[in-house]
Amino acid sequence: MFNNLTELIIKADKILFVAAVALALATIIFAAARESVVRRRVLNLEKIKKNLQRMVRADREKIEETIPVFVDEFSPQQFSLLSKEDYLKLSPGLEQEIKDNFISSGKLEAVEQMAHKGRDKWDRVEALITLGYINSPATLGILQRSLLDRDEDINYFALQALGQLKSQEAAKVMLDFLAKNPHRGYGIALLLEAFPATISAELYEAAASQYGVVRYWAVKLIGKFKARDYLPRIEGLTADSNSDVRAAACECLGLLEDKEAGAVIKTCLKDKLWFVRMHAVRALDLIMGATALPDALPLIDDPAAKVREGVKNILARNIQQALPYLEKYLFSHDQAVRRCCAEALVDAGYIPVILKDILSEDPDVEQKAMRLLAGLVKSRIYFGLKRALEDLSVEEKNRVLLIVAAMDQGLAERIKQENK
Amino acid sequence: MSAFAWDMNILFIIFSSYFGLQVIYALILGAVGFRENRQRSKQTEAEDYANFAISSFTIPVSFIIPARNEQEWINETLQSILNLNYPEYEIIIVDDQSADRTLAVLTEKLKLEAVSNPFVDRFAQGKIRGVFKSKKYGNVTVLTKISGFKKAGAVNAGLNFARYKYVCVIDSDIILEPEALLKVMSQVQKDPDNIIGIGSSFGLVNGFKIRSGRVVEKSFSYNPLIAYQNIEYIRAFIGNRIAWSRFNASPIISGGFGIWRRDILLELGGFDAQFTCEDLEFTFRVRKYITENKKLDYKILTLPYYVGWTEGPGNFRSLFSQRGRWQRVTNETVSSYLKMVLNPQYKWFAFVILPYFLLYEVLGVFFEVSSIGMVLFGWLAGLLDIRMFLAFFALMVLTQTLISLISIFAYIREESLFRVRDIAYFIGLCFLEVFWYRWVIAIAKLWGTIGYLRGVKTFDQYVRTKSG
Repeated sequence: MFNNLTELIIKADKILFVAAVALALATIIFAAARESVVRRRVLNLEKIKKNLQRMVRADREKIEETIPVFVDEFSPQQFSLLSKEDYLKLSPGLEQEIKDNFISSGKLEAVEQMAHKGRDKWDRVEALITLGYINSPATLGILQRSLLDRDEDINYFALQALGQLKSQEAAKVMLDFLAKNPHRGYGIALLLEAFPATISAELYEAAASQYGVVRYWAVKLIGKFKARDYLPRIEGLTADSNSDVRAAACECLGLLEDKEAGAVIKTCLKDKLWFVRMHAVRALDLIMGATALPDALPLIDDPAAKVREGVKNILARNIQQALPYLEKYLFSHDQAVRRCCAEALVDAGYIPVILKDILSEDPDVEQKAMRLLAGLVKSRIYFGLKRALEDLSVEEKNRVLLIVAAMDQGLAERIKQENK
Repeated sequence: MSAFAWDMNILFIIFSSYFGLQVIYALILGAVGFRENRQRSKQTEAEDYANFAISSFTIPVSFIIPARNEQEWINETLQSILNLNYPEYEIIIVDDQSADRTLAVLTEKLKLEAVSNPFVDRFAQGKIRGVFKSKKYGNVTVLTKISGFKKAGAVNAGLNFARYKYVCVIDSDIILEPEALLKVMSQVQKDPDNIIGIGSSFGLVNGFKIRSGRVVEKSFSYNPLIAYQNIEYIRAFIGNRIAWSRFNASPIISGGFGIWRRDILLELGGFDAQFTCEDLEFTFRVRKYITENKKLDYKILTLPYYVGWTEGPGNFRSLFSQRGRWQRVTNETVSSYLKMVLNPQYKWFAFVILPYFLLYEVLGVFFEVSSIGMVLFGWLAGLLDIRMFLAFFALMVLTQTLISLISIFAYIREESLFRVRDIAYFIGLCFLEVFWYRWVIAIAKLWGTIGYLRGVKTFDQYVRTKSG
């Protein structure tokens, strides 16, 4: 039995040994060949780059002579590399001439064929990118068809190539594609953001799309483009059936600082979804500033922390106008409300002012500050009192601590202990 | 005596099958890893990252860096993040009560200023003693906390302060490549509704020259201890993790560099400090969550890009400590989630990944040690002739060599990081691995298993030298 087993294992050893040695040799040979190919490719690219740089600096006549020779050196696939050469952008005229020469050289057909029917997926991808860069008359159609390809990489890179066209037609195709591929939202928005503002008309159309995801991203982009002509439609979208769209519309109106939109945004403060309320509060802050306080303050006890944070920010940014409200809300029974007020005072850098005012000789100022400090102490929220005390003189510190001790003996003792 | 010899035969068959299965597994996963690696590499070649680098629609990321006694590395790590080519991110460093100059280094570099912003500590794993903002970099926050809840506690403390949709947890001794986040997040950007976790490969920094958070010279260390670790990283990432990712069955997003969607981290209650390390257990927990909540479109990806470089243990003692810890956490995690094994609900994870973990990561060390022990015993007791002994030993050497070579080939097919002489050196080492390195790791794993059985759960941090 052992003998049979030994023979079997020795046979397996022989197979494994041959496989291991063959793989080891193949790996080394492949690595060496690859190193040499990479070196050659790098040298080639360096040459192309140098030629390009020379051309950017050369005389007009010389350029006209050189371009056809230069284009001839390129394989169709290599052409996409030019799109990544930033310094070519310095001379847009030259870039266009290179593209025109490429088209007239007859190489374009090969690229179009490859993009359309290429067998190797990655050759197709490269051809799609090249087409996007060249932007020939057939490009849009080919890219549009490629978007329907079942392969995720093909339709992803077709989208990227469309992004290079930067035309209204391309924007429309991309927005249509978004309707059926909502997960591509971020990618499409990222590409459209780099388009010229002239696509706002397409975005306006898209904002009325039957698809929520298209309306959402259209509104987001209108906000980025600051396209103020379309405010009435955006205002209308604050009542959209899709909550994401309502939130985006509020955000957009805030970014555009649409003074007329106050009324519609206020209705969104009562929305049943917290993130719509959050964007409404933020938009009101941007549009109305301190005057938003009376409308926003009822949301100080909102169940959603992010909404409360929005209210806190309005309070902190408009601290002087907010003080009467803070005096009241600091004594709320709701811990979250007290926290919101304390945070607003801290964020506004108002704690040192309170401590200074407590020591004021003006009784009105002193009284107000005392009320705020009492509220803070009672809120049982750490609000940086210890740190604020560090900036006072020893005498001032002792006076403040006496006052704090009258409000909360334990807190004063703790601060004294920590100081020791 | 013949009954004894019969038992030996059965054992021989079991052990030989074990090695045979391992080779088949490596061949299949190697082929899948090869394909996946090629696809990702082509995607990178074709991608235009310039758009991502400037867009306001590029998804922002919160970095959390837990640091405990990292005075040697923290400055370079932080600088490498500050050097990132990425439009919007924040950095939260959590000093977990370092006994060395970590906090002093940070204070000096960042010009820290204490702030008193109120916060809610959702996890309460060691009191957060101070919150500091950098006066020099507006996007950097430093927390100081009381230690006692390992790395998990420190990361969770940072999680309280993270604002963005995705959170990237990295070790405090990693030097990131400037394009690392762009490369990884451009994949996330393709489907942020469903990609909830993503990790990527990283290598060893030992032997590199680093200046201001940038690797200026990548010269791989020829110290065999380091070179073997490099081979192990390639084997782990290309031979296993990349292939698992192809089936959306990644069992681990490494704690060295891992990105998670923040809502998932919060919903699952953050990382668990009960385990020796947090990364493996958290990924398993997410897998469970995905299945139980029928979120089957959710994906956890592992990418083959070298996003950064970390210091590998430079001596036996450190290596021993690190691998013992890894073994403990593997045992702890697999035993905690044993019910998922062969449970049809969990598909690939239940039928391929978990059995692999059980057979090769948990029990593998016993198979290896007992198989060599058995042939040695058989030979010394006169039950086996020298031919049988050598044949079996050669089987061990060759299976391990072949498995490493498959991964190396799949790796170098797409990456030109290593020079030919580095690769030749690695290949030479592959043939020699079973003669010594394998046993060093086996002993460390045994030690880790004993620690696990004794209930040891400490996070033994080995000494960083930064010398390579």
